[in-house]
This record gives sequence, structure tokens and C-alpha cells, in this order.
Amino acid sequence: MNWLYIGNFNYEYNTEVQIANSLEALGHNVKRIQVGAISVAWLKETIMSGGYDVLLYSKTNDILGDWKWIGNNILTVSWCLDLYIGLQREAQLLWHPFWRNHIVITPDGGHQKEFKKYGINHYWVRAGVYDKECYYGKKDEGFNKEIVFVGSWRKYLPEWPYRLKLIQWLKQEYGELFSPYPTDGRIYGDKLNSLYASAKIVVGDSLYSPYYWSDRIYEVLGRGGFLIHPKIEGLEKEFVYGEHFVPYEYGNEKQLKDRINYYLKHDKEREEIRRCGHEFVKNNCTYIHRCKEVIEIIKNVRSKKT
Amino acid sequence: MIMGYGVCGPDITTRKHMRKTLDEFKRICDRVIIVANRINDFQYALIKNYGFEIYNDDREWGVYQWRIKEDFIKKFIPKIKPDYLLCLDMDEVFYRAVSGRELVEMLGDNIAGYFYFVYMRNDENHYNPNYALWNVRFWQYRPELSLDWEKKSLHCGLAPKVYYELGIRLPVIIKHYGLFTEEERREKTERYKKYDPEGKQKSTFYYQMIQKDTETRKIDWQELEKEVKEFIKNNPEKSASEKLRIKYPVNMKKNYYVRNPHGLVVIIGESHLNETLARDGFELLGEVTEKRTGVEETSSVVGKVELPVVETSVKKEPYECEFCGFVAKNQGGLQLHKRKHKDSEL
Repeated sequence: MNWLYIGNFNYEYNTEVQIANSLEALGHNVKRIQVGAISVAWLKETIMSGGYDVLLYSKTNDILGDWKWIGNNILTVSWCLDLYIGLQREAQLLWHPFWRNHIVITPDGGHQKEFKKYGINHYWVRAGVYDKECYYGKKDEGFNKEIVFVGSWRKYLPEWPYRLKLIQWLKQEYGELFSPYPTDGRIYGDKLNSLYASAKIVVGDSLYSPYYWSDRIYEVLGRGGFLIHPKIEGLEKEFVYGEHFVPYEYGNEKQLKDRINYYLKHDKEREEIRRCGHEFVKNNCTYIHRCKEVIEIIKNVRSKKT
Repeated sequence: MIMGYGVCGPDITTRKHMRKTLDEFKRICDRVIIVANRINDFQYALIKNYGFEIYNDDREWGVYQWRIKEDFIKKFIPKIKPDYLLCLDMDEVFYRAVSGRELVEMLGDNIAGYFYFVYMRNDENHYNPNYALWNVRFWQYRPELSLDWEKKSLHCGLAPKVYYELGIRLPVIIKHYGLFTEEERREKTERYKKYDPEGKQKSTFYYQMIQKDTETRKIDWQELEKEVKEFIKNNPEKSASEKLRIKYPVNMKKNYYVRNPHGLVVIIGESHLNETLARDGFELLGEVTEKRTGVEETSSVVGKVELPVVETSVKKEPYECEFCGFVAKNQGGLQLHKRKHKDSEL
């Protein structure tokens, strides 16, 4: 298929870049359009010329005016990796053009009824990891903490104060053994793989919503990290607890501490879980796999229309 | 493909110098279209002799300049789809005969290139140092970028506005003959007096100095070329993608607290407030006055930190391994699994 993809392609680590590359790896043609640098007139002309099958749109702050003119001239697909229902930003489901596309894809598998009420043609596709970044990094002496957390935590979503408490608790319990990352700027690419290789344990977190989890799980496991992550309803259907990563219950301090302490000491078991988690994600959960799912969805939607 | 374009008018400067500019187009470009604005038969024949195409637009230059340029570009460029465009006024000439290939290599991954302009004065060996400037003359056609012009009747540029915002400086020197002789300077000043008497498009000081500023300096081209390269090296610029990112920041507008039909308090931007309140079940609570910062880290934590209790729909598993969280189907399975942990203790 020929894809028009509107997103932020400024940085290699952006998900849009990785998805576009994955689509191309599957043999598709992808025309990348930098959001904010687009002329609606050009977009109209391009779509009306009939050279493209799909317009893929990533969620950004930019709104390309009134999209009603697109009509059925091209199949429009929105794909984002965030949770909306249950948060303040749920209000955007009412008016943002992103939610009015023919197909809307998010990793929220727990609110299908709500999406239907909003009139959104929603499909659940879980997050993933870039296949090219699924490898074991080299250990780096600069990353000298045994326990790490990677992601935003200082100014996180106000609906999820748990994140900040988790970081503060880990600092309190483990002191110098623990550090959140990044410490400044961003950490991505090979450096992130090195961090995961260097740390014994990565503690994960995800804003709780049934059948929703962030891409953190795939990123950590895919890049070769050993993960302890909260249990989420639905997660056990994709992963095997204790084999791919170690779960704990939100708020269960004793359980979290016991499991961290256990795996700080038991290197062999820890490395076996690290290996299994990595292999599983690499073979099942990359953006190549997710793109295949999206393509199937598109084919099904199209066949229903004709 | 490099396409060349320029606007040819009936003014003295153009009539005197246009042949040199047409030579440049011939040397560099694969295809050239000249916009003819009230030119005479001689100019017409000259352009045709070069094998260039002519597009006529006789609207009054001093009033419709930006429209003439924008209409031309929008009419032709999306159809022709050149890879690059070279634009020159009919009194502009390269100091050194750069090739099209060199220009493309210099531009690289960038979107538009600024050349350095030297205003020649009285003869080929002198210039006015107070009028050197940078201007966009070479750009890569990007169909997704706007072809809108700077909407000014004078000094509106020779490329679409966005390319000016994304351009980088290139070490290319242009000899500009627009203020070459007294006669040409006078004609220019008269034109500016007619179309911009109050100096709204450019300061009246600039217009006055065209006539009054008689400073000329002998030009050392090699030295100047070195200075230009040095200047570029010492003033590194952001890449085009960086500039694009900066150009489109998020707009800061008013926000409002609204209770939605689920009972959740949400924040709605002002541009969508009316549309939201028109729907059933939405209640306006008030304007967001404090800056939304999310959950802030406190610099010091007073007292013991406890993990909050989170209500979830996760079921308790009766046969869960306390070490790794593995869930067995039954007690026997769990005992079997736990041997793995005992073995690792040994």
C-alpha cells in the first residue's frame, strides 16, 4: 500500500519514525509529512490525485483545520500510544479530528464500549518496540545503579500520583542503589540498551487501566532489561508472569521489596528471565508485528466497505 | 532538475544587466521561465533567443508584486515539480561561476539557501559596503510546504515566505547591480517614493541613503570570499528540521474546567469550549487560572513514603509463586515450579 504519514519525524527515536520504517520493511511505500510544515492545499491535492491508499495520522497538538473534506477520498487511520479514557484529556474525544478518522488505533483495550458511545471506530493494538533496537546493549560503567526506573516522573500526569510515590519510595528503600533516568535530557537508542544491560533490575510502572499498558514493557524487555512491573488486568494474557518479567501488585510494598531483593541476589534466575522476556518480545511484539495487525485491520475494514 | 525564474521589468537596471543574468540561468538551469512585467519587444526577443519560456503578467509591479510572484509560482511549480529552484533578479550575477551541481551539494539536506549580496557601485571594482545582505535565491521544492508569499507590495522576496524561515547561509556571493549608476539609483528612489512614500515597507532612511550614501570601497573578491566563509563557520545555524520544530510551537490559550457526563472534571481549550458546552451533560466550572504542572517532585520528603493503594480489577491468584509471580494452575504445579528457586539456592 501507499501511505501518507503525518507525524513528527524530526528525531530517530520518535515512534512515527519507527513505525514508518517498519511499514517500509514490510514492503509498503511511506511518504512522511512533517506535522506543522504542511499546507492543507497540498494535502488536499495529493489525496485527490488518488496516489495513496492510507492517510496515517499521529496524535499531536497540531490540528490541520477542518478534515471533513477528506470524506471517503482516502482511508484515514489514527494511531497513538496513549491512554485517554479516564483522564482529563478524554474530553478531546469529542472534538479532535484524530478521533473522527475511519480507523482509530490505541493501546487501550479496556474501553471498547466507551469508544463506541463516542462514535469512534476504535481498534486495540498494543504498543511495541522497534525491531532494530531489540538487542542486548554493552554494559557501561557510567550506569552504576543496580535498580533503575526509566521515564518521566517529575511532572507526570496529575491523574497518576502513584508514579512519583514509587520513585520516592525506591529512593527511600534503596538509596544509592537506585536511580531514575534520564537524569538530564533524554536517553534513547544504544545508550538506553546500555543502561538496561548495566542495571540488574528495571522497575516499571503504568497508569492503571484494564487492558492498557504503556510501551515501557516492550521497550525494557526488547532492549534486554530485567523488569519488575505492576500487574494489570489483561497483561497475563500476553506475557507469562515469572517467565518474561516479574509482576507485583500496585501498592504492595512488601511484595515489591521482597521481589527486588530476591532478584538482586539471584543472578542466574534473573538472567534467565531477562533472556526469555527479550526473546519473546523480539519475536512477537515489535512494530513490525503491530504494523501487520494494523494492515489486517485495514484490509478487514476495506472488505466490509466493498 | 533545477528550474530558474526571475521577473523582468522595463526599468533601466533590468534593461542594462539582464543579459548577464540570463547567461547565469543558461549556465545553471535545466528549464527557465521568466515572468515578463510590461517589458519591451527587445527584452522579449532577447529572452526568447535564450530559449526560455515567458509568462506575462502586466499588473502594476509596485502594487501587485507579491501577487505576481505568488500566482506564477503556484501556477507552474506544482505542475513542473522541479527538484530545485534558482531565482535571480535581472540585475544579479554570481561572482564566481558556480555550477548547479555545486549549489545542490552546498545546500545538502537543507531546504533553502541564502546567498551573500554585494551592491556594485559605479564600476566593477567597487561596491558599497553598507548594503551587503543575505537573501534567499536557491530552494528545494518541497510540495508539502506552503507556496504563500510575504504579503508586501515591495521587498516581498523572491521565494515563498516559509523558505526564508528555513534557509541557511551558503558561501555564494552575488554581484547586485541595482544601485550601480546614478541613473539607476535615482530610478529606484523614485519608485520607492511612489509606492512606499511613508516608508512602511522599508525605512525611509534606507531610501534616502540610496542616493546620499556615496561610500564605495575597492573590492578584493578573494578576501571577501574568505570573510563570507569565515562568517558562516563562526555562526552555525540550526538545521531545517530544527527550524521547523521551532516554527510551530504549541499555542497558549485560555483553558476551562468542565465537568463531563461521566462526572470527570476535564480541561477544555477556549477554541472548543462553546462546541463542548452545547452538548448535553457538560457543565462549565470555571477558568483554569493556575499553570498546569502535573505532579511536582518535592525537594525533600517529610516522613516515611508509602506506596498508595490502587484499586484494580486484577484477580488474586491462589497459586502464585511468591518469588517470581508465576501463576500455576494448581498446588502441584506451584510446588513443581518452586523447585526451580530451591535449585538456584543450592
